[in-house]
Amino acid sequence: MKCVETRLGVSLARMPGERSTVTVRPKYFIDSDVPWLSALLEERERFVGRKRREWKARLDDGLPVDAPRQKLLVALRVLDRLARDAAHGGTPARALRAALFREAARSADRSAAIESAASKLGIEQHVMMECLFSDLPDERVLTAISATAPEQLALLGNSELVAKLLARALRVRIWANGHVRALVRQAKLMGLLCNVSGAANEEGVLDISGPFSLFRHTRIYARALAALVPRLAWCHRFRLEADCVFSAGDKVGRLHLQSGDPIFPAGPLPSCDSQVEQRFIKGFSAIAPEWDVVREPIAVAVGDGLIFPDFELRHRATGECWLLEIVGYWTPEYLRKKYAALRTADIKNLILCIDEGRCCDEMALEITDLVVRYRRQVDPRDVLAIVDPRAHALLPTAVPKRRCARSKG
Amino acid sequence: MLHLAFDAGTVILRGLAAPGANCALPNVPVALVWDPRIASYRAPAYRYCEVARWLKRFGPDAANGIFPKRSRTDQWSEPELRPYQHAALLSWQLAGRAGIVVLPTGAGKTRVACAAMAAIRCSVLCVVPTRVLLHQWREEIARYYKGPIGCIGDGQRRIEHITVATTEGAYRNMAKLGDHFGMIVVDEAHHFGGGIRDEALEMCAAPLRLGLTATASESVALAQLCDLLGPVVCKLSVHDLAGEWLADFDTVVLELQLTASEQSQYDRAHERFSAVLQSFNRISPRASWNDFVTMAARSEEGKAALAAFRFSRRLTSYPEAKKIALAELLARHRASRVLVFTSDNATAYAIAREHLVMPITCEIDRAEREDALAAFRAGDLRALVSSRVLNEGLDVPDADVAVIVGGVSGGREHVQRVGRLLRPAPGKRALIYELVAARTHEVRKADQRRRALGSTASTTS
Repeated sequence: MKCVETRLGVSLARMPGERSTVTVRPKYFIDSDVPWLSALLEERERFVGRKRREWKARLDDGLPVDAPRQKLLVALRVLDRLARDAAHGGTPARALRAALFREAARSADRSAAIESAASKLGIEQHVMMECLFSDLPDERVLTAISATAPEQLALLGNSELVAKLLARALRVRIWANGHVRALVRQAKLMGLLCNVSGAANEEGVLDISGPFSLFRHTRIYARALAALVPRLAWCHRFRLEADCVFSAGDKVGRLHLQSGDPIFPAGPLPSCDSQVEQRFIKGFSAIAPEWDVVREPIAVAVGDGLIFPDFELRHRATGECWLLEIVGYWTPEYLRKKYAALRTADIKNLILCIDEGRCCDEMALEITDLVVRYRRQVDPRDVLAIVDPRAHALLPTAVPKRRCARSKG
Repeated sequence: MLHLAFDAGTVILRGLAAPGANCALPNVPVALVWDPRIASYRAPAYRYCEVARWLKRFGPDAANGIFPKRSRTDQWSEPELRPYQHAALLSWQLAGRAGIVVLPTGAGKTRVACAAMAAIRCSVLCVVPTRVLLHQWREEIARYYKGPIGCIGDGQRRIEHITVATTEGAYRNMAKLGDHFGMIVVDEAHHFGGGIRDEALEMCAAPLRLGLTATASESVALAQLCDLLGPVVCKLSVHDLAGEWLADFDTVVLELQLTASEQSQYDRAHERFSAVLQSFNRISPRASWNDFVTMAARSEEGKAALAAFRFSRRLTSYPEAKKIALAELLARHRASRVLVFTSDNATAYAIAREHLVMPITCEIDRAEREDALAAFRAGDLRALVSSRVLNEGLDVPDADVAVIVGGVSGGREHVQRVGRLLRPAPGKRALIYELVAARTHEVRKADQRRRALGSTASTTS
C-alpha cells in the first residue's frame, strides 16, 4: 500500500485519548492566523521572479510575524499549488548540460569549453552558466499568484488539511441533505468508488472507498477524493466521517466534518460532461441514429442502495431501454458487489463501462457479462453490440471491432 | 484431521484444539499462535518450514495444502562459476539452502543466484530494490534460463515459474503470491532488516532463501535479516578478491586542513552539538540517533544543536582545501574515467559548475542519467559526480579513479562505491582518493570506511 506523508496529518489533528479508534478534528486556520498569513503573502510577492533556493533561505530566517510551523508548511504547500515554479532561460537546461559537459571532456581549459559550448548553442556564456540547472527544483523561479486575500488562503489551508487527512482514509461516509445528485455527479466525474443509498435527490448517504483501501492510484485517488470536499458546501446540510490510518497503521482516527466547518467552497458544478461521456454521446448517436441517448436518467433503487446511471439508451420505435454507467476507479471486489446487487434486484439492462487503466487492485476481474472495457474512451460499437446486435452486425467492418463483451451464457 | 493452508501472508493450521482445551496437545511450534477470530493456529508465512516439519509427525492425519503448484523445470543451463562463487554456492547448500552470501560489488552475486536456481530448479521469486536492477536481473537470468521470466514492477505484472519483482512490487503482492514460489532470492539484502518492507519476506512461505549483499555489518538489522533469510553463509571482502577476480586498487587518504576561519566555525558548531548530545546520552545511554533527533526537536536548545550539527556537516562537505585538492586530482587524471562521490546534491552541483563534470543525482531525470552513463561509457564524458545515485542500483560503466569528497553512511556506502571501480581488466589498477577534513568527524568516518573494506590505506596530509 502506498504511504503518504504522515507528519502533517497527525500533528495538525487533535487525537484525544489512546483508544484504538479516536476522534480527529483538524486544527483549522482561524482568525488569529490571518496576520502571519498576510505577512507570508507580502513576503512571497517580493520574491516573485527569484529562485526557490533564495525563497527557502528567506523562510529559514523566519517571517516578521510568528507563524506556527506546521500551519506555515500547509500554507506554503497551498501557495506552491496556486503558482507553479517556472524554469528560467530559453534553452532547455538539459540541452545546455549535454553540450557543455561533453565539450568539457574534449577541452582541458574550462573557459574554452564554456565559450565553445555557448557559441554552438548561440547563447551568451553567462546565460548558459546561469541556466545550467534552471530545471532543478531549487533553481526554478517563483511565479506570481493571482490576488489572494489572507482569509482566502486560510480557507484553502483548511481544505489542504482535510485533504491530507482524507489521503489516509480507509473509508468515507457522507450524509448529505439537498443537491445529493450533484454530489454524486461530482463523485462520478472524479471516478470515486462510491455506493449511494437513500432518497434520489434530497437526502442520501455516500459510502466511498478511501485511498488507503486501494493498491494502485492512491495519490491520484486521494486528490480526487479531496476535490469532493469543497462540493459539500453546496449541500444544505452534510456530515462526513472518515476512518483514517495513522502511525504506520497503528492508530485509526475518525475524522469528522460537518456543515459550518471553515472549508473553501467550490464553484458551481460544470454543466458539461466529462470528455469520455461527450465522446460516447457523439459516437453512439452517429452509429445508432434510431436510439436516443438520455443523460442522467433517474436513479435506480438496488436493494438498499441507489445506482445513478449516466445514460439511458432508448430505442425510438420499440421503446427498448438500456441503462449505461461509466465507472471511474474500480476494484474487482467493488464491481463484483455491484454486479451481485444488480442481479439480486433483477436488473438486466444496465451496462457497466470500466476503464482498464483505472483498476485499483492487482486481481483480475472475471465478470464479462454486460461489461464494456475501455481505455481513454468508450467505443460506442461495443455498447451497440450489446443493446442492438443486429444493428451492430450491419456496421461497416472496416474498423475492427474491439473487446465486445457479452457472454453467451 | 489437521490442514495447513496459506492465507494472506500467513499459514493457518486448522483442526487443532485451542490452547488450554481439555485434550492432549503435541508441542506446538513457537511460531504458531492461536487466532481466536478463526479458531485456528496461525504463523507468519516465513516460518512455514518449521510448521511443515512439525506437521510431518502426524503422518496421514495431516494435510499440507501449501505449494500445490510447485514443480521442477529443466530449462536451465548451468552457469560457469569462479572458485569463490562455487564456494559460496556450496556454503549456501550446506547451510540448508537458506542463508546470506556476502560478496563485493562486481564479484558476480547474480551469477551465484542463477547457479543456485539452476541447481534447485523450482519456482523462484527474485526481489530487487530498483527498476533498473529488475531489468538487469531479467537479462542475466535469460542467459541461463530458456523459459519465460515473469516480472512484477515497472508497470508489469506477469507471474512465471521464474519471476523478478521490485521490493515494492513484492511487498504489495506477497499476501497473494506468498505460496507460489519454492525459493526466494533477495538482492541487496541489506535493505531489509528493520523496515516495513520486511513484511514482504515475512509473508513469503518459500522454504529456500538466498540473500545477496555486498555489505553485512554486525547489527540488530543483520540479526533480523538472518531471522528472515538465514545466517551469513559466505562472506568475502573486496580485499579477498582484489587482484585476481576483481581489479586491484590503491587507496590514498588525503587529510586536508580546514582554513583557520572554517576550523573555528566547525569547532564552535561541534561543541554546541556535542554538549547537547552528551547530556542526552547521559540520560538515555541506549537511545538511538533517531531518539535523539526526536528529543532535540522538542526544545530550542535541541533545535540549535541540530542546526549546529547540520552546519558542521555542510562546512566539511566541500571546504576550500577539498576544492583545491579536487581540482588538482581532476587535472592529474584527465585521461582517466573518474567518478566523484559527494555527501549531498548541493556539493555535486557545485563541483559540476566548477569543474564542468556531469552530475548524476536524483533530481536529474532517468532518461538524462541514462544518456550521461552511455556518454561516460563511450568516452564522451570524462567524469561523473554523484552523491548517492551511483552508489548502487545502476549499471555504472567501468571507471579507473574515484574521488570520495564526502559521504553519509560510512562503511556500507564506501564498499558499494569502491565496487564501482573494481570491474577487472587486463593490467588495471584502480585508484581511490578519499578527501578527509582533518580535525573533524570525517577522520573517524574515514576509519570506518577502511574497516569496512578491511584494509589499511596510505594517508597523506
